[in-house]
Amino acid sequence: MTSRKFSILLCFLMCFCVLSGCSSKDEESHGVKAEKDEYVLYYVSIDSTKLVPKANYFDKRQETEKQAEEMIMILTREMTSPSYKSVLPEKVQLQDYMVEDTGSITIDLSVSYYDAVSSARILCRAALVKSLTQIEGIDRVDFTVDAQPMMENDSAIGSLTADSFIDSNSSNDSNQVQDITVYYTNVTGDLLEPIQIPMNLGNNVSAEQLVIEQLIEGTDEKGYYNTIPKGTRLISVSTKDGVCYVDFSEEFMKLGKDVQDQVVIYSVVNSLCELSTVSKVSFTIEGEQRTLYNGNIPFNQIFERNLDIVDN
Amino acid sequence: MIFVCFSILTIAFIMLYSVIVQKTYERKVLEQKKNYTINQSNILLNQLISSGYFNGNTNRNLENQIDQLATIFDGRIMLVDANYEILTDTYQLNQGRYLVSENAIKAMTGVLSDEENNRIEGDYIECYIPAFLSSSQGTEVVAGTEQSKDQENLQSANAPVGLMVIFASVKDSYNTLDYIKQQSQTLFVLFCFCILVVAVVITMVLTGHFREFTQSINSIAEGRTDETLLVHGFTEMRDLAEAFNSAVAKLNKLEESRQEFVSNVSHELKTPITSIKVLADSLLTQEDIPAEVYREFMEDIVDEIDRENKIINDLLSLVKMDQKSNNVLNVATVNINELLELLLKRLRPLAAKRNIEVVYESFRAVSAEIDEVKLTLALSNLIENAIKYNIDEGWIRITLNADHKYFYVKIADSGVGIPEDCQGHVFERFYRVDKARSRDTGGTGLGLAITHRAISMHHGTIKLHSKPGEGTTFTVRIPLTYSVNMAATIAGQNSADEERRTKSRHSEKKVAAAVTTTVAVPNVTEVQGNLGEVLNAANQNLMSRSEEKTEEKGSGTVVTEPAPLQNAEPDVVVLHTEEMDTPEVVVLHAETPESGEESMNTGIEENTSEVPFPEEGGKTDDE
Repeated sequence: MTSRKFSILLCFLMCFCVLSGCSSKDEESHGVKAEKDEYVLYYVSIDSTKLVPKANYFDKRQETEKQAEEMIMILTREMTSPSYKSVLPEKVQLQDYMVEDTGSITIDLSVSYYDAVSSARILCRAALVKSLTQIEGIDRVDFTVDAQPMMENDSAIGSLTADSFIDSNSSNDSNQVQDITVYYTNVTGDLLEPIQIPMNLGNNVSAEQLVIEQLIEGTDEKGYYNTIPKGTRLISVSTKDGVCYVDFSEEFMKLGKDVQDQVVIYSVVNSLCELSTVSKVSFTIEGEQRTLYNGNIPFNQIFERNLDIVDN
Repeated sequence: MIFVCFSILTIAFIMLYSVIVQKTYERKVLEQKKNYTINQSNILLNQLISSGYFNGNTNRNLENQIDQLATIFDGRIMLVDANYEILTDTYQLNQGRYLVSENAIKAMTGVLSDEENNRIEGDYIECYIPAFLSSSQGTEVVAGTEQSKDQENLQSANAPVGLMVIFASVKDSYNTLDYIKQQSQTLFVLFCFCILVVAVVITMVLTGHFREFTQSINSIAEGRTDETLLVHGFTEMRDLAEAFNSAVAKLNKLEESRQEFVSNVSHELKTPITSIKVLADSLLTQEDIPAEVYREFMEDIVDEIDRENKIINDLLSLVKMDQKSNNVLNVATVNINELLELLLKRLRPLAAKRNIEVVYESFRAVSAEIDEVKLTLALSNLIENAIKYNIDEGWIRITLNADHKYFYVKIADSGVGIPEDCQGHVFERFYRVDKARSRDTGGTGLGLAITHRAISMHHGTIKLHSKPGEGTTFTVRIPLTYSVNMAATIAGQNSADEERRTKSRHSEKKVAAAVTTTVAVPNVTEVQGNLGEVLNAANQNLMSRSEEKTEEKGSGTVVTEPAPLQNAEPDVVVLHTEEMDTPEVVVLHAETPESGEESMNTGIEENTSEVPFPEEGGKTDDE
């Protein structure tokens, strides 16, 4: 009998062994973090396919111009590294640069810049902009070629900021984080409580989905309570012509006692309508339209923003 | 235990199966999704290029189509122009920005491999599809996945006008996969449960049978020997029960025979004592008995005591042989011919009393590894019986022969014979064919039992052929070499055989009127073709051998020149083919023409140490 027990144990052990293989892998972040007295300098990889960040020491007490000068010097000099190179494309010369009080720096490049391939041009601009804008007092970069504004596609490119470049699709892209208002409920469950929550839009998740996931997940802030019933899954969300179509799982219909029906619906509607692309919301449950929500609210209509039940 | 192992194995297989199915399905689904995404994107990209979208020619209809496709993908589409400026982003976040991600640049410059070009990251398929203007066929898209050598050349001349970046959600596929995974896990647990239940039930049933068996066996062990196992259950169980029952039956029979033996012994021992008592009593009770009567009675008493003594001796020797500890033979290489001669010398006077002719024939010199005492006992019992149960002026013929494995002693007599229904019992202890006669012949009923025992101790066999009124023939077959385990190798026997023969060659002189010649020849057909030659060769061998002998023995030995073999009639020619690559052996037995005292027996062997001796050699001499 003991041997059978042992073998049952063995079976389960084997099950666990097999199931444990289904774990998700962590994404590796390759970003370089700048220490207190460092800037991250961006070089161009040797094959001109990406930016290579390197932390570099800087005396931040120096004047803005001094720092900019030093940084440009470092970025444009000839490199011996096997993995990265100078930000300037071949044969392109840095002719001049000038820091202005308005917080912009103008960089003048030689005319051979236009001969470089587009990838080299974009990487050159991106590296310079992303590096220089870290300096306090510089937040945008203007490019000129032979003292004329730089042209791409027959139009001037204008001032560039760090936000102008999307480096990667990784989630640590801090410049894509926006504060978005979502609506939770109060302790009694009869009014909506708006709260601004920072959301990272840089991921390949739509803002609508982020908002609803935030609603489902809830917040740790005091006084804000979840509206959406526990266990609800978002099946899909998409926007067309300003109308956001939300498909929830069946659990959405199982309302808890402590939240009013319309609070649940309008927490979703109002939150979504905070997005610029959404003005109306339509619900489906498991892909079907339902006529009534919880027996009394017509559910197959298109909902619009309702500020009446928002707590002031 | 078997069932536990079996169930574990089954569970493991089910698990393996479900995991494999899941993995395969996952791969297939994702691949399909990817292909679908790429195809749809290419169609859209085609349209975009042909309408000049990347040259700034925006179109509301196209925008809508892009949005729609993004919705279908449940993801995001970004369109990037040749200067890496993002023209469209369905998430409306990045328009006007520049895309400088590594994959985008690689895709545009055409160094992105297929793997990187569209890969699955987390819940998304990432696709980078560069748009090329093909000059030859108007507007045509060459997607990264379909780049051929020619198109790569084309591409270097023709830089991409833009790039389409697609992030398509595979969440729905993963949801489906999760569902399937859940289902299969549930099923798996169910299967495991079922298998375990079945295993438990089967094991219970089986152990139930075994428990029953054990109980019965225990009760048999406690002494209820008449009990038998119930034959039921699985086939194997039935077989086991039957085997066990037959074993128990045999043991019971053995027990019975033992009890019978004990009662027989008591009876046999009692009979002479009763006679002695009767005789002594009658002497005591009568008065004035003449001295002759005394003498007569006393003689009878002595006879009875002798008888008792003989019975006890026989019993003792039988018991000795039966004892496990005494079961070891005192094996030595013994010349059987001499042994038999000695025996006959002792017994001939006995036979002469009744005018019985004793003929001893030996076909060859035989020496074997035997226990001399025990075998002498066995053979003398047989010969004594032959004399005892013979008719007056009858005959006894004792024949000794051997092949490479065994020697045979045949003892035939012209005696009274044994009835057929008794033939099976004559080797049993105290068995008598004719109880009335036994008193006269003075047998104890143990002789044949002792013989049988002694011969079986030598791993030999004894056969009986008899017809009432005509006589009895006992044939004893005993291995030439004694081996503790019966499976002695032929090679071993051969070498022993050879040794024996070499020894006997010098010791044997005038026993049998037979000549054995062994000649090695290459193969059978040659033998048949050149028989004459072979005979000549054999003859020459024979001659030289006898010359040798003459020299050896000197003047003390009388050697008769063997008759030329051409004149002799070959008694038997045996051709034995073992294998084609070993030389065949011809054994010729030829009776020499002269008979009587001056006969000789010479063995000539060649290559016998390498050649397996023919099995049938010499056997054919039997009448």
